[in-house]
Parts: sequence; structure tokens; C-alpha cells
Amino acid sequence: MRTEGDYFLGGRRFGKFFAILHQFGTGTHADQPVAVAGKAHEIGLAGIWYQWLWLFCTPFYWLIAPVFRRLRYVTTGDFFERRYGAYLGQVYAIVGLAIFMLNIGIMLNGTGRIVDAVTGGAIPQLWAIVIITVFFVVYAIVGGMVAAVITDAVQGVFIIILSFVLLPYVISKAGGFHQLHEMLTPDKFSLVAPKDVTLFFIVMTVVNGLVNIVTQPHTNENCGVAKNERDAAVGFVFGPAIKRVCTIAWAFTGVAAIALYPDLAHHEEAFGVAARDLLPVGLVGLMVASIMAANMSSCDSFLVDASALFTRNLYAPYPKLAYLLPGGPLIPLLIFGTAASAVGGKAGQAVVLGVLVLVALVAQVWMALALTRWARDPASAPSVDDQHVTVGRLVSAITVAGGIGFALVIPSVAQGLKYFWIASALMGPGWWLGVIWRRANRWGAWASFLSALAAWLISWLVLKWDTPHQMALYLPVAFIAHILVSLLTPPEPHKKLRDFYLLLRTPVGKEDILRRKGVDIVME
Amino acid sequence: MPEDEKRADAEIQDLPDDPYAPTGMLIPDLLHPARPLLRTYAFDLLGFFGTWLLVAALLVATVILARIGA
Repeated sequence: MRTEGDYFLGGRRFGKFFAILHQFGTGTHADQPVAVAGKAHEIGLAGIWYQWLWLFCTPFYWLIAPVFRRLRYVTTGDFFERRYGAYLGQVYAIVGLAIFMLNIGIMLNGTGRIVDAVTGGAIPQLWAIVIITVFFVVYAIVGGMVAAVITDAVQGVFIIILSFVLLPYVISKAGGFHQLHEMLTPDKFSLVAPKDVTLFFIVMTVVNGLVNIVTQPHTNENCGVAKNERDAAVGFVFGPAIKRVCTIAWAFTGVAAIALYPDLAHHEEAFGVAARDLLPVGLVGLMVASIMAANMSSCDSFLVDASALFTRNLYAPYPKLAYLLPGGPLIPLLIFGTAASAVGGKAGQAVVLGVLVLVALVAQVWMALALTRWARDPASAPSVDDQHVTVGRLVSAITVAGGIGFALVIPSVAQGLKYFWIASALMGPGWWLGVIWRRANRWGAWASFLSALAAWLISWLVLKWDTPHQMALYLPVAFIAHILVSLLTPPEPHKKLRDFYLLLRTPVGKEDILRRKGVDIVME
Repeated sequence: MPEDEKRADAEIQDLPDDPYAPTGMLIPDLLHPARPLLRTYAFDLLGFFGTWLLVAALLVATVILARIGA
């Protein structure tokens, strides 16, 4: 690993095989079987939509991936910076970092819950989180995206095992499909539930999924590791397609668990409790290994992606920001969490949060000292590439501290997922209109983001609407605001649009043409 | 450099710097499509509709599984 490009994007060297498994590994984690089986245990087969919300988006992935790859950006922050101006790129970087922390938190929370249940409490949720974190932090920080992609290939096999190994046992214990149909009401086998996951819920989450997939901060990097547009498209369609198949198994596991465990205290325990009770001893160990692998395969990529976002879109334009961010706002929150846990009698949680405070503090101070040293003696400072990799590694450590912090406070995986769907969608209209509509400009993008944020907060906190109704408000508001404000304000400068669309017009491998035309390529 | 590659290079260089000119990819060209549609976007359209078949197959498989034993 010699350059920033190697660390953040694995040198864009991966073909179809690795692209598929990287997309599958990064997009699939152990909290998802927990959420889907848990929801299926609560409402029946319709719980499948907690992951299938992107099913109808999958065909669009074929069209989206080549766009990401051909733009040759490192992060989605680069997209907003190049299309709309630096400030929006920086706002995206801050939102993206928060999304990564939330996402890592959801994953660790779900994994901890399932490991706790599978091992019958022998490995409590808190310690499961700590063990997994130590593993993926070490190899992701040392090996960057190359390590993440290569380990995904192995971890993908474990995810498939995790998904299917339990299903035959749980169906058999319930007496087979015929017996299940006799024990459960017909609505438990319907893809649409009478409440919660209704047709309206499905339609809104699918539409929201199509909007937010492009601004989920890891999508750009996932497509960007591929050698070319075709490999990116194949990876982005077939990786998630494998996940869709696995999702069917998670949902049926949850449905069968209704018959076996009708009185679970928490629906999200269904997958773990069934694994503990029904799998033979050897397979329980394999299941625990698979769960951990599933999460490591996502967290490693998220960690590297988060560091790319900070380094490229916040540190590169404003190096002095690294004296304060991302630890500045996070450390007081973690200290507050430590104190609250200690007062609340959660000693183990307080210890872990205390350690996180230390980790974040050490990384932040380390970064500040390095910055001071490089500024004082530029002649002996390492190359810009090396500086970015160092900053990226330290930011990874702080990001994971924030992620674990989230993991300990999220009420449930399903609730955490809803926050994630919404947070990722707020800047989605800016991406879509920025690619499709030449007249879209920065003022429209700002109006879109701010009005979507306001509409969401009002519908959630003031009107107390449920998630699908919140989506039905903030999505049209964001698109309309973007279009109206863009029409009422001047278009983007011609040079900016020309460079952006020349990138889109020039296939990967023809970068010499772009250079001859004076277009700045972020990373070939 | 082979002849067809030279021709492709020349074609790209000849493209105007006008941002409104088509890119050859379906999403950026939605409002400004190139002609002929089918030939220009063959790769995009084939993959897009092919993936819909996959989606349909998954849905059908799930419904069939849910009806086993009913």
C-alpha cells in the first residue's frame, strides 16, 4: 500500500469477483438477520421489507454504478464539492461521518444482541461488541481498503452460512411448512401486513431507498474499487442480489420462530434464541464466527470510507480543522455517556465508554501533534499522500469510538435502521438532480437539503407522523425546493458543468483525453 | 493503437464541451438522450431489464415458498 489511492480505494484494481463479494460483504451485516427475523417474528413474512426495501432499486444499481466509477471521485463529498461547490461537500462529509457512526452503531448493537442470545449470555452483548471491534479496527487501519476487499471474499462465505444454516433446523422443529400453516394465521405468510409494513410503507421505503442509495456514503467507494464501469455494475447488482436471496432465509426463520417462541420478550431475539436452541454444538460456534465475519466485512469498509470522507473533504481543504474534528464534539458526548452509565449502575458499559473516551482523546491529540510538527518543519514532513493516510487512520479510530457509543444507546436495530434510511436520503435529491439536470445549481441543492431536514424534523417531532408519512413529506419537498430555487438563481459556471459532464462522457481508461482537455481527475 | 481505438478516441475528442451533449449513459442523459436510443444505451437497457427479471424471480420464489404446505 503505497498511496492514498491504495488506502482509500485499493488502487481501483478489483475485477468482477472481488467487486461482487465486496458489495455483498459491505452491504450485508449481522444486524440485518436480527432486524428481518425480528420483524418477521412480530408481523410475519412482511418483515422481509426491512431489507427488501432496496429490492426494486436493484435494477437501478446497474445504471448508477457506472456513473460513480466514471466520475472517478473518492468520496460522495467529492461529488457535491465538484458539482455544487466546496461548502456542500463539507456539509456532506459531516453528515456522512455521522451516518457511518450510526451505521457502525446499528451493526455492533445487532451483532452484540445476537451473539449474546446464541451463546446464552456466555458472551454478553457489550463484550461481543468489544471483541469484534478490536479485530476489524486492527486490520482495516493497517491494510486499508485492500484488506477490506480481500477479507470480504472470505467473510462472504460465512455470511451465506449464517443465513442458511439455521433455516432447515427451525422449519423442521416447527413440524415443516404444513404444520406452520396450521399453527399461524394466513396473514403471517403475506408479503403485505395489515399494519406497520403496509403497502404504503413498502412504496415509501422503496422510493426513499432509491433516493438514498446514491448518498449512502459507502456507495461511491464500493463502486470505485472496481477496475472499470462494467465491473462496477456487475458488482453492484450481483453482490446485493446474493443478499436478497439471503434475506428470504432470514424472513422465513423469523416466521417459523413465531410458532416456536410466541412469547419472546424482544422480537429481535428470535434469530439468536433459535440458533442457540436448535443448532448442534459445532454449528453454534460456526454461527458465532459467521456473525462476527458478517459485521467485520462491513465495518472495515465503513471505517476506511469514513476516513476518506474526513481526509479528502474536511482535512485537505482546511487542515486546521483536524485540531478539533471529529473528536471535539464526540468526546464530550462520550464523557456524558460514561457518567450517565456509571450513575445508572451500568458498570461494564461505563468502563467501555471510558476506554472509548481515551481512544478518541489519544487519536485526536496524536493528530494535533502531527499537524503541528508538519506545519513547523514542512521540509521534513512526509508526503501529502502519507499525511492523508496517517490522518485517515487516526480518524478511523475516532469514528469507531463514536460507532460503539451509538451502539450502546440505540433502542433497537429496527429503530436505528429508520434513522439511517432518513439521514442518508436528505441529500439524495441533490445527487439525482445534479446528474440528470444540467440546470441544477448549488442554491437549489442547499434549499433541497435544508427543506428536507426541516420537513423531516417537523413531521417527526411536531406532527408525530410515522416514518413512511415523514418520507412522503420530505422527499417531494426536497425535489420541489431544488427545482424551484435552481430556476430562480443563476446556473453553475460553464467550466464546472463542462468538466463534470466531460468526466461522465469519457470512459474509464481514456484519462489521457481528460488530461488533454484540462479536466482535473480526482483519482484515476 | 488499433484503428477502432483511434476512431473511438477521435469521436470522444470531437464531442463538444457543451454540458448538454449526451454522455452515453442512461441516467445523465435522461433529459437529453442520444439517438439512436437502443444502440447508444444497449448495455444500460440490457442490464436494467435483465435485473428486473431477477427481481421478479425472487418475488415469485418467495410467494411459492410461502404457499408450500398451505
